[in-house]
Amino acid sequence: MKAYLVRRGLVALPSLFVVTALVFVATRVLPGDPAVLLAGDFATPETVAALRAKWGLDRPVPVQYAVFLAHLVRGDLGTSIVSDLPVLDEILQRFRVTLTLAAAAIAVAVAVGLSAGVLGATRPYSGWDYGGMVLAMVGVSTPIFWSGMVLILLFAVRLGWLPSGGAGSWRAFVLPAVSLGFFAAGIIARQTRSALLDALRQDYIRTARAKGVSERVVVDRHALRNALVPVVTVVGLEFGRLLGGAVLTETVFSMPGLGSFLVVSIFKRDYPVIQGIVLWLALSFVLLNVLVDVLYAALDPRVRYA
Amino acid sequence: MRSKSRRWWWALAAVALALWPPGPGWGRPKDTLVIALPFEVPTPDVHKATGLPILGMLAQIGDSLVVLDEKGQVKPWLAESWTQEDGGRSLVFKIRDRVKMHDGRTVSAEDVVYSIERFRRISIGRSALAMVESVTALPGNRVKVTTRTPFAPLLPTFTYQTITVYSKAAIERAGDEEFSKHPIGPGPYRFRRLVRGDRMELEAFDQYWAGTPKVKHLVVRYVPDISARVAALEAGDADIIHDFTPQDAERIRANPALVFINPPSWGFIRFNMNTQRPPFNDVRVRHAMAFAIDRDAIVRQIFRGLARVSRSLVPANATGYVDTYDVYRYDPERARRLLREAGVPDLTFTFSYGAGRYLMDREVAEAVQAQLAKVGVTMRINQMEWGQFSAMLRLPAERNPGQMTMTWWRTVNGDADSAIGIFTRAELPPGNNVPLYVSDRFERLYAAQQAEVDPDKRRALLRELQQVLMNDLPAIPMYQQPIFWAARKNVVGFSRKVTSLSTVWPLYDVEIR
Repeated sequence: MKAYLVRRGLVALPSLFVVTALVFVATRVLPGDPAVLLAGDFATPETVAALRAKWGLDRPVPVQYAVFLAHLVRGDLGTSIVSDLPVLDEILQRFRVTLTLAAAAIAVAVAVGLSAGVLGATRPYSGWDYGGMVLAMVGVSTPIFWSGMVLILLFAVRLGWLPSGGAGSWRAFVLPAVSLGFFAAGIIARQTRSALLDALRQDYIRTARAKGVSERVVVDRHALRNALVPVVTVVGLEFGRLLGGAVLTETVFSMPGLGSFLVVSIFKRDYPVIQGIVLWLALSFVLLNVLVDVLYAALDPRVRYA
Repeated sequence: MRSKSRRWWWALAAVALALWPPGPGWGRPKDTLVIALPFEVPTPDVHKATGLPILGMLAQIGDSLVVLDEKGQVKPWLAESWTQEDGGRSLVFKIRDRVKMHDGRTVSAEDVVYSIERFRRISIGRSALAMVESVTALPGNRVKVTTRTPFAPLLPTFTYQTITVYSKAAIERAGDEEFSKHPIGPGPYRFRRLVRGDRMELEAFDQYWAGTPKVKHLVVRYVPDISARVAALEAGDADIIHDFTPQDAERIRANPALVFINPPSWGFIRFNMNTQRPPFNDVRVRHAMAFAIDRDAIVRQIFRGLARVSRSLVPANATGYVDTYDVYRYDPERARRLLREAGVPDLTFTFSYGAGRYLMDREVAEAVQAQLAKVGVTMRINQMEWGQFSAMLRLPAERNPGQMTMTWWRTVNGDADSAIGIFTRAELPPGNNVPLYVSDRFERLYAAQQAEVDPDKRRALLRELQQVLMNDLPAIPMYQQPIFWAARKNVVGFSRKVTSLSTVWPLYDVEIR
């Protein structure tokens, strides 16, 4: 396993390097000048020129990239053009919010999705099955900005039970986690249902039933465990998506997360922040994939990493 | 057994709900004023910050020398009086004695000099004091500001809230960078902390010279989405919000728990026309556009009457503003005639704007497109991302593809001078002279009004300047960009604190009842 992890790390390095190069070129190709955007409508050409010089934007792009890489190998992602603060500090502060939101949302998604999927597979073509699948469909197809606003209007404005936004307390995470979680729950429910249905048709399940094992044990211990391997893949992918893609939820619920920060930074052409976030997200994806691989081995004893 | 346990769960859920008290803003302390803004506080240091509403919030930490009263007249603040000297070249401020900083020190003339110099050195808005030659401390807690040549609107320029006073000793002690993270000034609120991307927290300064602030905590929250801001106000999660649509304004006005605030605006939207390239290098075509656009209808229908038509290239209510030279009342027939005379009866051109930058910009662009179609003009709408659009505006004349563009402009000090300076040669791109307007007569008049210290003579020069501009019409003044604030009804005294520039004056006497 250790050798496998080292190998995975070595394979990831060139990918991450390519990511830095691509993002660096992409940000510089974008029309628009961060100095002009930051200086705003009030700025004189002299102010803009001074700002460009301050951030080294007046130097050739290859030189800028070399400087970026030189800082990167020392673990320094640079300084934000907008806030003048270290990019890593800015990312870490927001990543905490994003990670909490993603974890809460995935917990909602797994709880709802797995339950609906198991109900659907163990009682196929019943009211439970249709109900669960309709719920899954609604979850997947409801736009998050709409479901988010409905939740805010109902639970924050009308009932006053929960805050309408922010990230100041655990209560602030409830509505966004539900909004985001239901979207992922739909996908997990469908995946669980089909994988479990498939597992329940296997010979070893028939054998277990013939031996008189209770249906609950058949489903929980034999069928579900085998069905979970593809489900874990989906959960892993969804979690990765939530880490970088919760932009709408973060915006609707005014959460200071990484996704909305990336979008704002793109609009402001805050190059160091854009580079830093994309690199951070790429790294998170790599780590998440490794974690999913490790989970495979835990779930399925046949899986071995040499 | 199973049904018994289920009943327990239901009972538990009912108790949990009963213990979870509902109601707007539940759980939020009553001594905290929460203001939700569409922009994030980038840094608590106002000399380094951008964004007008943000500047107003950061000005709570520092304090300005003078402010404007409700009639737009300059009023003493940190400076208790002032005199003009050297034939209008110098302004001498007398700073109030015994004003305390947050670190316990007393505000001195040296603090004021150091702060003004720091503003002139590092602020993005430093061009506001570009005409200043020197700033010196005088005995008797006085500060002398001298300009190279007489500059009539110098005094109101000091109401611009970025020119705020900080503690010199604190900056020198902490170093510039560290100070920016924790600024210290004499303002009504002291800085507590900034949670990036989320909020800034301030705490009342009980030794504030004008009186202890009535609300103990001030929280400035970043809520980028308009609907979320309105919902936060309705839910009681925010006490005050800024910037929303006219439709939201109607909803807020209908809610008895909320107060809608719509102060006069110093910002206005204009449609710039590239005066150096066809078709808009012909003044008849520019006039035709102005006659073909029904600005009253736009204000009435799109802004629900909550904006105001601009009648000059100077914001209404600014010193020197006159509306008499706007002769362009909606007249499609006259527009057609002018286009025929100019030889472009079936004119086609491109209108560019930065999508989502200004309130209702897309709706306005589409309305103008429909109005121009009625006089046979085809206006192609080029909706651009703001970064891309602002880069285009700054291209030099020979490479600038812009034909007609939508931009916002303002006066920062309530004086016409601050609004029309962008039409000078010095402001040609990469400056802010977006229409690429060049006029010798305008240049002469502009320089003359800046040097004229006699208010009546200066007013006459400003009047003539507006006449030149409205006749040459490098840009069509469209409408005053409305400023929308809303507060919960129990917030008392906020409506008189809002400025015509989307900022707020010191909030020390605003209270929550």
